[in-house]
Amino acid sequence: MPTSNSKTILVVDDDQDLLDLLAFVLSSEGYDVMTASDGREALDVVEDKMPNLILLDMKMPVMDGWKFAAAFHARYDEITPIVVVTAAENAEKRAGEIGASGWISKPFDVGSLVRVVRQQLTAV
Amino acid sequence: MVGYQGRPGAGDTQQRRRAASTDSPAELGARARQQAAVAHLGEHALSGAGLTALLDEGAAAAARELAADYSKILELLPDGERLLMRAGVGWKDGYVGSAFIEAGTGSQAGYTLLSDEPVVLEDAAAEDRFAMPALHHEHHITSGVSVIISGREHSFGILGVYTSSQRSFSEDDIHFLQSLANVLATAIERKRAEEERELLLAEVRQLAETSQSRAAELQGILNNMLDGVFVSDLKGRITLVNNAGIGMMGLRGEQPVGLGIADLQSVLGMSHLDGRAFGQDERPLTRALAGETVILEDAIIFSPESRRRSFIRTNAVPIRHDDGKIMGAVAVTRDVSALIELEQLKDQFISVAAHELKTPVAVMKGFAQALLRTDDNMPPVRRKMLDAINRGSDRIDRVVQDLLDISRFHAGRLDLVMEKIYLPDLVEQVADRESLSATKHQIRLTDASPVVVLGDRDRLEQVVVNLIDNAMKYSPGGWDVEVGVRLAGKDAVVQVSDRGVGIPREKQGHIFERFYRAHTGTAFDYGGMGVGLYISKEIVGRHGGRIWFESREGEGSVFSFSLPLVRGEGADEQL
Repeated sequence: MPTSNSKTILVVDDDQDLLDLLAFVLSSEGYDVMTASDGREALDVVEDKMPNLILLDMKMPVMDGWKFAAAFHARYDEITPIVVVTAAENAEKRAGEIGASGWISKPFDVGSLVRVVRQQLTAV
Repeated sequence: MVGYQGRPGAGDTQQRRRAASTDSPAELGARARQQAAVAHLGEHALSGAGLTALLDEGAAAAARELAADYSKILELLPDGERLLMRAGVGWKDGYVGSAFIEAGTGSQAGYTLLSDEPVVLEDAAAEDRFAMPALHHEHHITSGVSVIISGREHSFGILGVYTSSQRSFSEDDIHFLQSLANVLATAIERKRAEEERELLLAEVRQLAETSQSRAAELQGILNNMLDGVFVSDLKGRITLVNNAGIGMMGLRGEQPVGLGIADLQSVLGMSHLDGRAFGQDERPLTRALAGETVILEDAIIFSPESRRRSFIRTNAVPIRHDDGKIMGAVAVTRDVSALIELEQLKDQFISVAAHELKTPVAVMKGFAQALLRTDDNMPPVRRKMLDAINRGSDRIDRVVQDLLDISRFHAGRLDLVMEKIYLPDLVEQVADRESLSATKHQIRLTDASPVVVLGDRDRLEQVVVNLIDNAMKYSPGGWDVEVGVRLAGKDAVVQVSDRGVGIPREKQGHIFERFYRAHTGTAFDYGGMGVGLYISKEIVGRHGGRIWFESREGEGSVFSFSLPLVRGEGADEQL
């Protein structure tokens, strides 16, 4: 759908409901949303089209967030910002571990999420 | 030695002595034999002859040398009323060893004891000083003489000789008899002393046996206990380790020798739960030696042999003399590994469960908020429903967060990230955030002293949030909640007051306990886990502060906590 913001966001999380939620919220804000349920799928999606921002859950089966980040950085020189979305208490630490540029704790306030996304997309 | 004063009516001493020097050879010979008999008896006594044998010999010598028909040795019984014939010559069968004579004036013997000097019986028929015992009547005794066998505290008894026909006894006779009696007295005294000594020795032996068997008992108890027992003397040397303790040390069988408290710690591989070594003054035995009663000191010990870590819990107390002075210390140590591992398992479980809840809660909250944001034309009723879902998910999130905090506190794993914090700003920010979701309450900042503390920002915010939330929760009428920061000596104090339902006095003592909810089952039961204040207390405690409250039922509560100021920054120097 043609919108004023044609930025693309990739959301990666093994919980389908959460994926749906993020997709709903972000498309309501006018972004294009791509989804993946684990790191492997995410790599496939990225191969197809590089997003402007990746929202990344860390604990996932098949390939987790750490492995995805490592593979992603190895494969691409892109400076696509990654925001870690996590239930862990030490979200900041996890973000640091993979060189992410931000983090969001679950459960999150939708308004805060939108703000963070906006910041990350304008920062580049 | 009893001096003899002679019988009533005796002649004077000079005459007596003169009489002695004109004795006939026969008399001289008799006296020589008498002296020999005394000497003989003395020798026997010194060579350790038995008392009975000596008494028999004494009685025999008395009768023989004095040419008397009868002789007897009587022992005064403890009741002081009778004497028993212990030895004798000439009597009919059955008397020696069993005949009793009355003391006092009931017999010559008794009278002799009363008079405290030798007594001569001239003629039984004419005697009016004392009565004749049946014994004398039976043997038709007419004359005799009796002397006292003396003793240290009281007389032993009497030595006496008797004849059936009338006869006089000379001073020399009495002197001889008394000499015999004195030898016997000495021998008896020695025997008594020996007997006493034997008794004492037997007592000592008995005591030694008793204490040995008591020691064996205690040893048995100590070595069959499951807990380890370590005893130290006043100088810090380990003097006893029971079997369980030896096992904990990874040794086998023998008592370790020459260990000090520090050595014990290193053999045990003992450290605090967080891995730090015990400082010299922190060791339980050392503290007990200083007079402290150490209770439930937890530690980890490591056995390099079995490569196992165990958790131990120790009590230690000083051992004191009767006068209270410390003479050592004892530590009793229990392996609580199973307990602790169970607790850790439980905490892990709670932690995992809590994590699992986060994503579904995010989904609930997210969709409720998303709907609220995207539909401006939503009917108010629906809006309210979604608000409720949003709030509900926040509450779940709080509980989840509480669970996580509790499980981490318990394991002592709470890591504080310390930084310098300008307290009034922190408090104000929290108050503002809370105000956003406060529908019924106004949160007012009353004091804002410019104090700086060292603390973990998130954790301190957590405490302030907890206090403000409670204040709002428990003032349903919607009155103001007042928050303030002030300087109090070397501390900063944060205070949150409400004018709500207050806490009943009988519940106030438990307020900071884990899971304690003061309003359960009352009209003011708003649910929750009851861990907020427990966690707040832990956080404040970890920061070196205190938390307290004042509350009156029906009037409201004031909760306060203190934090030490950053060193060197007093009120005037603050920022």
